[in-house]
Amino acid sequence: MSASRCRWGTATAILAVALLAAGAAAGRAAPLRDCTPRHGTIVAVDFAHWGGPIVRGCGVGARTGYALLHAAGFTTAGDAHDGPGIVCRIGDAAFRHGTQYPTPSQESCVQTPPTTAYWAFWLARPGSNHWSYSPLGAMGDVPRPGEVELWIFGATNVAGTRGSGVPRFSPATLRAHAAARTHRTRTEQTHETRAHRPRGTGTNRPRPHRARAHRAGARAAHTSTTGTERTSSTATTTTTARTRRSGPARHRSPRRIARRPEHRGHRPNHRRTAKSAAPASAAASPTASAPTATTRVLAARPTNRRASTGSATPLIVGAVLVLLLCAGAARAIRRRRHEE
Amino acid sequence: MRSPAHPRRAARAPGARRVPRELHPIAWWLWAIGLIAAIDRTTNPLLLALALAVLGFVVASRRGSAPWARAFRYYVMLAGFVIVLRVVFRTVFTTGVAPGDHILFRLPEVPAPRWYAGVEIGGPVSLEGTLSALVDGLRLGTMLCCIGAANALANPKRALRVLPGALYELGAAVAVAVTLAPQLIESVQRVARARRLRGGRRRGLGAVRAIAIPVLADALERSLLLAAAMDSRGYGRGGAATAASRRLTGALMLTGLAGLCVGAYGLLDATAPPPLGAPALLTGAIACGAALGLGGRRVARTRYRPDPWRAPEWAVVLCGAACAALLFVPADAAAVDPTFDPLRFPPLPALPALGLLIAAIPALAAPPPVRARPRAPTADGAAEAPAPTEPVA
Repeated sequence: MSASRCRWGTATAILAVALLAAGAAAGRAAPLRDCTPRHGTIVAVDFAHWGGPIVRGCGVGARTGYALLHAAGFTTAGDAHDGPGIVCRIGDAAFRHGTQYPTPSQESCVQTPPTTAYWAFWLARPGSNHWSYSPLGAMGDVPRPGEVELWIFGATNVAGTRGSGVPRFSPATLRAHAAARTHRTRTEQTHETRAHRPRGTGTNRPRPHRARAHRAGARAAHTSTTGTERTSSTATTTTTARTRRSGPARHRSPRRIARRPEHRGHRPNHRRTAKSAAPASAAASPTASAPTATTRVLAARPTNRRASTGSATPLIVGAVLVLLLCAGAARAIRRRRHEE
Repeated sequence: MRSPAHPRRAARAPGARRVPRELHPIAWWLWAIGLIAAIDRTTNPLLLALALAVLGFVVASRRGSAPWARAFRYYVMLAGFVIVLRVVFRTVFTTGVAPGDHILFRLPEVPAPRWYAGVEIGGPVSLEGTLSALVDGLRLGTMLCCIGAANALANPKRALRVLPGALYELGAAVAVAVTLAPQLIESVQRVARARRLRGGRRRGLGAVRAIAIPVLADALERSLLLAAAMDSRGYGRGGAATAASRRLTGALMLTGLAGLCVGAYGLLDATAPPPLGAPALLTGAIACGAALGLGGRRVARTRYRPDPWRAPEWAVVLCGAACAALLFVPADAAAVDPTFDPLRFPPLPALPALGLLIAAIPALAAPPPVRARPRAPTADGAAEAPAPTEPVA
C-alpha cells in the first residue's frame, strides 16, 4: 500500500508539472468529468460534414457560449465583417490536428456565412431531451449548468426545422451522465497516445502507475485529485472510464495502442474495445442506441494555436509597388501642371 | 509597315507623341468592372492598396480636363469616409473579442435588455477587430474608387450613346442631368466674376442674393433653349409605333421586370424553390431584351461622329479582364483572404498582384487624353453654347 501511495504521489507531482506547462499554453480546459447533470455545461461540435466525429468538451462557469467553446478547448474564428462573435470556423485538436473547419478554400469568412453552410447553434436545456435552435449568438448566449450546447455545420431553413444543420441525434447522447460508453472508451483511450504527444514523454510514463493505483482501489485519492487533474480532459476521463468499469482488458489497451501510428488509432481500436466492452458493461450497451456506427464522439482537447506573425517581406514588396505607382501618378500630375 | 512614315509606326516611335483622343467610354467602364470583380475577390490589404495605387496612376495619366475628370478625388474622399464609418461602427457596436486579442481600449458598456441581447454597445476594442473593419472598409472604398476612376476617365455623355434605342428619352434626361452640375458651377463662377468686375463688395446674404438670382435666371434661360433645341430635333415624339405594338412592348417589359425581380430573389434566398432562381432570371432577361428591341424599332436614329473602337480599346478591356481572371484563378485562399485573428503580416500572392499590375497597363496603352488648350477661349463666349444638345445621338 505504501508503495502504491508513493507511486501515486509521483504521478500527481508529474501531473501537476504537466498542468503548469499545459495550462500556460492552452488555458482553461475543463475535464469532461467536471460536467455533471447539475454542474458545468457540455459543448459539442459535430464535424460530420467533413466525415469527422462529434467532439465534446466541458466548461464550468463560462459566461458566454463563446467562452464555453474556448474553455472546452475548441478554437474558433469569426468572419472579417462581424468579428469573432459570429462563429465561422471551429477547430479542435481531436480532429485533424486542430484544423479549423470550414477551411479557407471552402469558406472565405469575409461576410457572414450563408444559411446554406454555417455553424448552427443548438441548445438542450437542463434535463430536456430536445434540441432548440439558439435564439442568440455565441457571445449572447449564457450557458446554464446542465445544459448541452451543440454546434453543427450545415444548412437550415429559416425556422430551423429542416436541413443538414439540424441534429439527428438526441442531446442524451452527449449529456454528462449518459453518453455511449463504448464510444467514449474507445476514443479516449486512443487519445491518450495523442493527447500528450506535444507535451513530452513525461506525462505518458506515469499512466500505467495511475491505472494500477485505481485498480488497487484508490478511489478516494482519485476524487481528491480531481482539481489538479485539469491538465487534459482526456487524462481524467480515461481514468473515469476505468474506475467505472473493471474489465480485464481495459488497462492493457493504452499501452498497446501507444505503439500504433497515431492517426491510425481509431478503427482497429474500435473493433477491439467494442468486443471487450460488450460483455463487461451490459448496462452501457442500451445507451449506445443514439450514435450510429458512423457517429463517433471524441473528447475535446485544448488546441495550441501557433501564433506566427508571418514574414514582413510581402508587406515591403507591396509597399514598394504602391510607392512606385504613386511616383508614376505624381509624375503624370506634375507634367500635366507643367503643360497647362 | 513598309514605309517608316507609316502613321502607326510614327505614333509608336519613341519620342514621338501619340495623337490625343478620347478612349471609347465603354472600354473604360469594362476595365473598371474587371477591377471591381477582382477587388470583390480579395480582402488582402496589400492587394487593395495596390489596386488603389493602380487606379490613381491610371487616372493621373489618362484623365482629360473635362469637369467630370476631376471626380476621382471626391471618390477617394468618399472611400476615406466609408473606411472611417466602418471602423467607428465596428468600435461602437462591438462584436466581442477573442481570448488572445490585443485590446486597444475599452469603451463603457451599455447593458442591453435580454430580448435585445443580439446587439452590444461598447466594450473592449481589439486591434484585430479594428484591422478587419479597416480592411472591410478599404475593400468597399476601393470599389467606389473604381467607379470614380471610370467616371473620371470616360465621357459620360458619350457613354449614354450605347443605350438601346428604346431608352433614348431616358438617355436624354440623364445627359441633361449629368451636364447640369458643371453648368451651374460655371454659371456661378461667371456671375461672380461679373460682379467683381463691377466692384460688388457685398458679402454674406446680400452676395448670395446677388449671385443666386442671375444664376437662376441663367438656368431658366438655358433650359428653355434646350427644350426648344430638343423639340426642333424631334425628341419626345411617339414615333411610328402602332397601339398593338406599344401594348406588346409594355407587356413584355412588365413580364421581364417581374421575372428579373423574382429571379434575383430566388437566387439570393436559398430556401426558395429552384425554378424561381436562374430560370426566372433568364426568362426575365430575355423578355426585357425583346421589349427593348421592339421598343427601339420605333425610333430611327442616326449617329453623328461615332466613337471608334480600335486597338487601345481592346488593350484596355483585355487588361481589365486579365486582372479579374487572375484573381479568379483558384489561388491560395488564405493569401487572398488573410485573417487578422492571430495577428500577422498579410501575404502578397503573386498571381493576383500580377493581375493588378496588368490593370495599370492602360496608363500607357490608352491614347493620351485631349487636354484643354492653354488660354483657349475658355472665357465666357465659348462656354455659353448649350452643351446638352451635343451628347445624345
